[in-house]
Amino acid sequence: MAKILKEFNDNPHILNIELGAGCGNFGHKYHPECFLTEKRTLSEVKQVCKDFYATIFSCDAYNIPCEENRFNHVVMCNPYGYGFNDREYGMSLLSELSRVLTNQGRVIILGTMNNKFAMPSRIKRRVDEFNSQNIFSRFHYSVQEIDCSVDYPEHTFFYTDSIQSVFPRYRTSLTCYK
Amino acid sequence: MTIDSIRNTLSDIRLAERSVKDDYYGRFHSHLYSMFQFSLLSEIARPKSSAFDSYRYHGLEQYILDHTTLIEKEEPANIDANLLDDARDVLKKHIKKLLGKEGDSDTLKPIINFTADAYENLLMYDMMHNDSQHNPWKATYDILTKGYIYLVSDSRDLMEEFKPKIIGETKEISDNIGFITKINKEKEFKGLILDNRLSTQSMVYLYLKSHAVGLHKAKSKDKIREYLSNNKRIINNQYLLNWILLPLKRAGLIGSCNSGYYFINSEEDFKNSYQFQKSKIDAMQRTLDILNKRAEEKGFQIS
Repeated sequence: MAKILKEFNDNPHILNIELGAGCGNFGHKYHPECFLTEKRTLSEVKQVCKDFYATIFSCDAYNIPCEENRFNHVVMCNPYGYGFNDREYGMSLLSELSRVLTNQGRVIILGTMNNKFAMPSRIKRRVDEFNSQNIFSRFHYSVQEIDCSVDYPEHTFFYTDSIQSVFPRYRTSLTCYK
Repeated sequence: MTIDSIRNTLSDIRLAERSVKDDYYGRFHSHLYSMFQFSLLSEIARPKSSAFDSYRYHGLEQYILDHTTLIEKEEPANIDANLLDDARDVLKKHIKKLLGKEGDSDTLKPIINFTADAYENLLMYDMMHNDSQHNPWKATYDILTKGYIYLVSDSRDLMEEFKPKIIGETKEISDNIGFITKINKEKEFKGLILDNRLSTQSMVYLYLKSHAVGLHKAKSKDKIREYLSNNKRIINNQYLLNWILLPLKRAGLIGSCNSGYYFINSEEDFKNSYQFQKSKIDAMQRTLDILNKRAEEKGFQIS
């Protein structure tokens, strides 16, 4: 925790963060100047990720150790094991994201059609619920169908096991207004 | 499938008063075997380590829900995300009610959520392929209907927190996932840690796939054990048969003949395996017919 806090404080110019980065290094490729974070520690990630060279910080998506309004972009690449499938956890995640995002900051979520943690219709349901319960911040929701080979041609996405490749089909964007 | 029918079905679930290993042990392994079938069929499933940790478990889960047609013949139907959401809420609420004052404790949150996740997977698969026998979460649902809520985890902290009475733990398997169950007794958890049968299955499958392609190249159990032994896996004949070869056979991935086991590849192999299984069904049918006839003679109606 102390390490990531120091990193956030020492690098105020880095305004993007990827959650659940795994072996992918997606954040660095498509959002330069981005903190890569994971629930696992760097040594745990290195055990499963071949030739992994990036620096990754251990961080819980529901409890990001930084001050309010810290990031312009939060990236979630095919999240699994955390996200929007559960009402309670989904609302808690949206609260945390609204806290760490700047006004008009964006959450970018890539997911496959059957990823229960990132199904666009489920995210929309959570956002509607969040907006109806919050006066000071709200999210604007939009979704796009994507073709990874066109949109992200130089990147291989992986499942949680870091073994099998995956092709996200939707990009959901949530813009935060405060 | 409607939320009312789901609510009705779930309302019958009660937590068991007594924990019985037979209620969950075989069913949990059956769940894993069904999941692992997809991995073996995917062609690209080459584990980087022999450990079966929760990242592999969840990766496989996600992979299956994206690739059901590896096993299913029909294209998947659409998933009703709203119904999934509502069903999850109904189950969580019901479990919390059954747990009484324990239901709101933070300690039990991971168990309640995992049980709801597994139920959600069951419904997702069922929405895509109605009533399929290949749905890997049928077995976990059976454990729930037997009165257990559960958690799959490789987190030592979590395992320590639940202090389950673990069955068959060894040092060798300590990197694998564990299965923790909870019944209607406060602060009592039981469970098991997965042994290395899935990685051994994978090794045997890949061995037969490269060294025993087709009926005429079958390898005997001794040869297979010798191969495993050379790769530092020492297992006895019984274990090899029951926990490694039989699940692979039941998944239709390998066949057997008098000289041993082989990777099913050609039309002849498929026909042979099909006929072999059919002859077993025919033999069982003959026994059923005899039982029926004898019962009838005594005036009993049994079917």
